[in-house]
Amino acid sequence: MSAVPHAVRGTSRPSALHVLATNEARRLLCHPLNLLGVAMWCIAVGTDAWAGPRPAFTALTAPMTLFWGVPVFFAANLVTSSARRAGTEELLEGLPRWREDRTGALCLAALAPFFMGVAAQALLSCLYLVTGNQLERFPTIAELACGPLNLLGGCLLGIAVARWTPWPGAPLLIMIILVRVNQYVNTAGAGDGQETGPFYLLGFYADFALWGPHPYLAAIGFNPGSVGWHAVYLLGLCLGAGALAMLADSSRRRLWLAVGALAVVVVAFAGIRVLL
Amino acid sequence: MRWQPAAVATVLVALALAWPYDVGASWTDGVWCLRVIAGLVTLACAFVLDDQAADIIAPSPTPLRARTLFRVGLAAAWAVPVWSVSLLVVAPRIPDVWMGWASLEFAALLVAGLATAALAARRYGQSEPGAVASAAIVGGWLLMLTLPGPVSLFTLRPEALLSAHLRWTLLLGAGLAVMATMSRDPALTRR
Repeated sequence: MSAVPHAVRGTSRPSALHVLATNEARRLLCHPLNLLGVAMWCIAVGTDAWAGPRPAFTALTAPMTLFWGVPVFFAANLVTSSARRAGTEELLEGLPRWREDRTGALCLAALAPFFMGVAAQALLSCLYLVTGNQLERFPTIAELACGPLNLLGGCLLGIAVARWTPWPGAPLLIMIILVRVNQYVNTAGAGDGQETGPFYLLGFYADFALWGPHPYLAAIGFNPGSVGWHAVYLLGLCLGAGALAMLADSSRRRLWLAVGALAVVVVAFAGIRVLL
Repeated sequence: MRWQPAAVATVLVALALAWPYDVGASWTDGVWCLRVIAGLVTLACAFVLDDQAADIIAPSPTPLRARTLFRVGLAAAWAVPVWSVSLLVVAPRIPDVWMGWASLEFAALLVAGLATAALAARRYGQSEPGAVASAAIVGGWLLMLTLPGPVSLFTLRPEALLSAHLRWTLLLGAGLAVMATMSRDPALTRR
């Protein structure tokens, strides 16, 4: 698939960015890994969502991060690095738009999987209503938003990793570290008989419903913690990943450093509120 | 040939084996530790077919199959001892029968991973298929995790072990077939 966008010589920057972003969004949505992520999310949801009140709640709020978010991270990384891996980056340097514009377009294109995730959540919610699927309570907007926010963050992080670490295997290592960190914060400080520790909302993959005893189907309540602030925390991480991606190529470094600093403040504040 | 992924994977496997574990923990934790190690080794082996000079040496008299098998042999020379050490370390924590089952899963994963890299190199013309193949392997691993009960691969239920490992054997066979096909020299013609 060619990385060369349609010719946009002589057009204004916003319209060029719009065309580039549309092209990159199409590449991202049609990428085999994104399609695989959608399929895996459908399988994960389809096998569990009607098994009981607890699985129904979990299916609506948790699996998108792992089964769709991880493949979409790699999809964004491969789309961003495709020109470098094909050895055609020098050809793109001759185009009227800078690498900064291409990175900006990729970051805007990351909204495409986010909206696709929102549509998928909406469709599943409608299916629950139509089929009368019983839940302990319907998830809040914040609980529903966490999955699509993780898709957005995964894409932006994949773009940032491709720009900053252009070495084979780097995205793999990053993902292994992220999974291990998430596993650690989910269980750190958990007492006997507790499913999660007090820091579980500092991870990306957080199951809000309590699983209880085997066969884990009954609704027995929810893990403590403010999911609203967790959603703000994830939004801050997305902002930080986007700023990191733009910092690699932009000539306006102070702007993106300022955005990054704002993201750090948002993440720190929201992280503290989550723990309180 | 890239050695860095193998070096990093060796460090990660060593960390996984050295990580303190609860002596009273279930044997399933040991099996999952072996599965994670199998995944790490497979991901590292996905880079074994990376060759920046692939297009230059393609017309050389040495057949593609010989070149591919040589690289696969080098990968196996690293992967097999790493797996053997992992089995020895984890063996006290798992039932003996799982030494064989886990080794079958490892072999199938490894061959499937190498087949994915060979497919990317031959079918899609990638001289360095590691980046694409490793991402595809992660996707495949997650797909195997989502498979429901009747077709599940990562099962621990005793009644489903035999059927699951038959499916692993099918995966191993499919991987070998793909590797054999993708290592066939494109310049070879029937006479």
